[in-house]
Amino acid sequence: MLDQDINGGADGPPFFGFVREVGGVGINDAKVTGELNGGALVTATDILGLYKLPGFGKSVNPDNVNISCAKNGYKQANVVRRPHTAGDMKDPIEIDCYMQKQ
Amino acid sequence: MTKCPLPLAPFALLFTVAATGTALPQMAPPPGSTLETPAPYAMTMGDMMNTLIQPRHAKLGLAGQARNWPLAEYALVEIRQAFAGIVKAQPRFHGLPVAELVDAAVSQPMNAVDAAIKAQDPQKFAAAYAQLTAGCNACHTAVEHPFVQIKVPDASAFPDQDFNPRR
Repeated sequence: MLDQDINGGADGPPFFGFVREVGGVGINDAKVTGELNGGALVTATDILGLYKLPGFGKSVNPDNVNISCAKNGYKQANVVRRPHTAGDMKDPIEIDCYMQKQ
Repeated sequence: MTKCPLPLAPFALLFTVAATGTALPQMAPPPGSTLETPAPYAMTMGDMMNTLIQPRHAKLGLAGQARNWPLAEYALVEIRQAFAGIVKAQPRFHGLPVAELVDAAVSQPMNAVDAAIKAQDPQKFAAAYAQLTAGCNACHTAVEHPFVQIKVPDASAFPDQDFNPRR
């Protein structure tokens, strides 16, 4: 169950990352949205600032999924997609979202 | 003079073998068995957490509770080194980057523990140690192991170690 949840399985690679302040501190309970062609999956970060989203489907190119983050008192600064190692296609797509205090 | 309670015969035999260079005879393999080169044992994440991290987390807490600051400092160095080794030994756990998880979960709390030790401040130590422990549990939850709940130690599991400062 663990491998299927985190590694995607038939649903394509899931998404994983952190929402952080620009200085590096994780942001708890930030809203994270994964969007594809008008559809969206939404989750919230834990106390580490960590989020996970399930895969969008086997046929979906993860590069087409737009990840954004939001939290009251912050504005999104930038989104950083870490390189996805070839051969680890079952591993999560790693995307960090950085925010600035308003 | 007291007598040594250990039986010396086995040691005497070993010494004799070593001194003469005589090898002990090989045991014949049991019928039906195959002789294979033993495979090295690769520690799992659970092995490493149980043997490298959890005892040091406990020792760090016990040393801080006893206000044994040199020991607490040593335990903190040990736990940092253990995490560094684990990140190298197992860079990913169930697909997730271990270095990122460790950094997010324990780096900042360990810095706070370090500052409390340097200040020799029991209240700050207790707060930082609780933060470190919460980081452990948040990480366990992130990797789908929420049932592994770490807590501030309320007793020592090390009967052969005195955690009090040296007088």
